[in-house]
Amino acid sequence: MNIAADGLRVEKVHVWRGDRHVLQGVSLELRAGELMHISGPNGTGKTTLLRVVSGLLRPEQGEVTWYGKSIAGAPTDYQNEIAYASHEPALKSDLTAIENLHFMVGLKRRVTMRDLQAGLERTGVAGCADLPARVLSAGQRRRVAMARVLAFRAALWLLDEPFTNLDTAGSALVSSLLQEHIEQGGLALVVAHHDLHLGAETRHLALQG
Amino acid sequence: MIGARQAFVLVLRRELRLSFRRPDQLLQPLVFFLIVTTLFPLGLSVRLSLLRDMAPGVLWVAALLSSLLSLDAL
Repeated sequence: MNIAADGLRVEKVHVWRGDRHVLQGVSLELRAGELMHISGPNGTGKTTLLRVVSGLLRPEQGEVTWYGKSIAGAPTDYQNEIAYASHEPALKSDLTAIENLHFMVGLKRRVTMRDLQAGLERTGVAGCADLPARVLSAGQRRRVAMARVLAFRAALWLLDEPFTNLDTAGSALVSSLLQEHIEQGGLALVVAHHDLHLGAETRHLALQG
Repeated sequence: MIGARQAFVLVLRRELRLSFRRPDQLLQPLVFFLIVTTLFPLGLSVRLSLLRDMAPGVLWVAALLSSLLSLDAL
């Protein structure tokens, strides 16, 4: 069995932004049921690394593979395997929470309003389903973004600062969702500035400037 | 995975919904288009032959510029 083909593999990835060499040969491996916590000072490429792994940014050198296949080779299939939540919740302010979810999840798979409502209930914002995103607090928007991650039903979660703006209960909720995802055999790359207090084994990658 | 046609319908429905939620963003480009096309005969001349020659170019450029106004909403 090829162990390297057992999940996500990032191999010696280099990314330049103008003259800045942001990612300098970053490598990592993640298998089913594993979570990796990515940390590091501002500007060291944490978000850039997530964007590379999500396929939004193509590295100048190096490769990202998913179960042995380059993500550049079958981008559509790979996109169905991932749920990327950027540090901005990325909601259209004039659409309601559930309309936002319906559009974004609907682009990936057929979904019913009941499914989406269940996701919003899970993240504690069911009461906000029919409110425009512009009237939601930053924490509520973050919870809606987490409901979107759940609704994608993806194997690999790529979360950029998922605890930002959340209250204590919200942070505990995201932690429990991560825990559950990992226990069910999912994979997660999480960028966070503080320690993740999860029961699941957490691996750590510290990026340096 | 959904098909391209379903994706197109989803995007179209979302954009129409957004437009009707913010009617100002729908009307602003139309009003701009009307103002620009109206100003040309007022500023130049009402000579029909001149306006007839200029009309296609003016209309296309005005349409292009008015569409730029809605780009922020994308």
